Amino acid sequence: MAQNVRLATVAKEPLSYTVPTPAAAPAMLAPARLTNYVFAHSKYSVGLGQSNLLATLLSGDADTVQSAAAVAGADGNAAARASATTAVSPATQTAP
Amino acid sequence: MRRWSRSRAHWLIPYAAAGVLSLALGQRAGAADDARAWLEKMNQALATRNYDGTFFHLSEGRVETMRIVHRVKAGRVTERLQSLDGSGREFVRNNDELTCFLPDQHTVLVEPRQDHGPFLGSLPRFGADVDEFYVIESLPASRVLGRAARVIAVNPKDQYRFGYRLWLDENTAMPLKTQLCDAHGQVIEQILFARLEMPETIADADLAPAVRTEGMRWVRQGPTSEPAAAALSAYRASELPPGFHLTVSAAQTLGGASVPAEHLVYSDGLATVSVFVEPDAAAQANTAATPSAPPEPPLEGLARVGSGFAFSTVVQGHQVTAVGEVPAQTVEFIAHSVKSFASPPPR
Repeated sequence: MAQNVRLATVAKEPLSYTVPTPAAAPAMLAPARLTNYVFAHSKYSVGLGQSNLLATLLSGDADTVQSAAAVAGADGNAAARASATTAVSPATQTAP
Repeated sequence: MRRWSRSRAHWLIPYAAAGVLSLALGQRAGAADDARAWLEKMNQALATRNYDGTFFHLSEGRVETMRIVHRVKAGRVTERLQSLDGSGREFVRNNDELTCFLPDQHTVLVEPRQDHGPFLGSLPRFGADVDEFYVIESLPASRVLGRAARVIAVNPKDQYRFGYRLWLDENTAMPLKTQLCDAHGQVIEQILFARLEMPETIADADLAPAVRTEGMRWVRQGPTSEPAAAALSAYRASELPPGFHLTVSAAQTLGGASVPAEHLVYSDGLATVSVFVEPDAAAQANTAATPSAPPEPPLEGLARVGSGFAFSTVVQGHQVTAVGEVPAQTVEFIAHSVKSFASPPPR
């Protein structure tokens, strides 16, 4: 009897299940890479732009804040590019 | 008689209006000159005085506390900018070399910085080129940190650049508070001093980094005598927002990469945008110092960098990234216009 109950319970569950990959999730911009660009640029920035830029670098915001720049797949597939476009949108909207 | 007077008065109205307008314009020009003079004083103070201060950096609803120490001793400038919160990062400039301690990335970046302005950023001299795209004016005086302050505004004339508001100490011309604003005058980012001292002397200990560097990777980056590949140096922006022009084109090593990138700098005299043109991933992988390291995939899209933006795209297989303290549309505009030119490239 107990065995029958167990079999019934098992029968309700699917035979296999694969956790779906979040296809729309963009990869984040490599932190060090963005820092390198900003650091190199800070040499030529002037005025308050420079102090703000250095403050941004110092706080680490260049690594993480709205890193909406998505990495298109190395194979350049359209889905990755599409997700990149989606990821870019919020930052574009918040742009002053 | 009365009719004649009224008629004569009508004749006088345009002259009176012109006189008032001329007076107003004269006063405005005078105010602008006064504002320019104060910005010059600020530049002088930032570059030549000793100062030690703590300020808040406010951006996107976040506040970060930072300390700045600036010393001029026997003509030698030493500066230290330190994050007192979170990241623990520090920048130290020793005359002509900038060292950037990034403990969170276990990295120390070192770059030569000859003829570089102070960390707090002086403003360039306002010439005709800058006047064409910015309006500079004096605003009513105010108080910051209990001190009387001159308030200067530098407003952009279009949406391709940001503007500034500065509160300058009446006694020292030091910027006690600064704001970065968009074309509508909305504040994007600000720096507000909580403490500012200007001592006669500053001890070496106040300029020494507090970061422990054991186990950290030291990376020297910066301009290189090795030219970028000819294929990279042929790239230029084919179109630019009004007022921007190419000011620098140089080979640049980025983060210890084995192949230098082409670094282009476009400026309107106040705002600057850097464009980096890098070899494609396959080329980098072939010349990588660590051949086992997988090539980094190409980047595409927009990232926010404090008040500025970075925009990456791929042009003819090359990674093109534009970075600047400018609105998003400006970096996008420039990055999208980059293409390879047959010699000679436009300046």
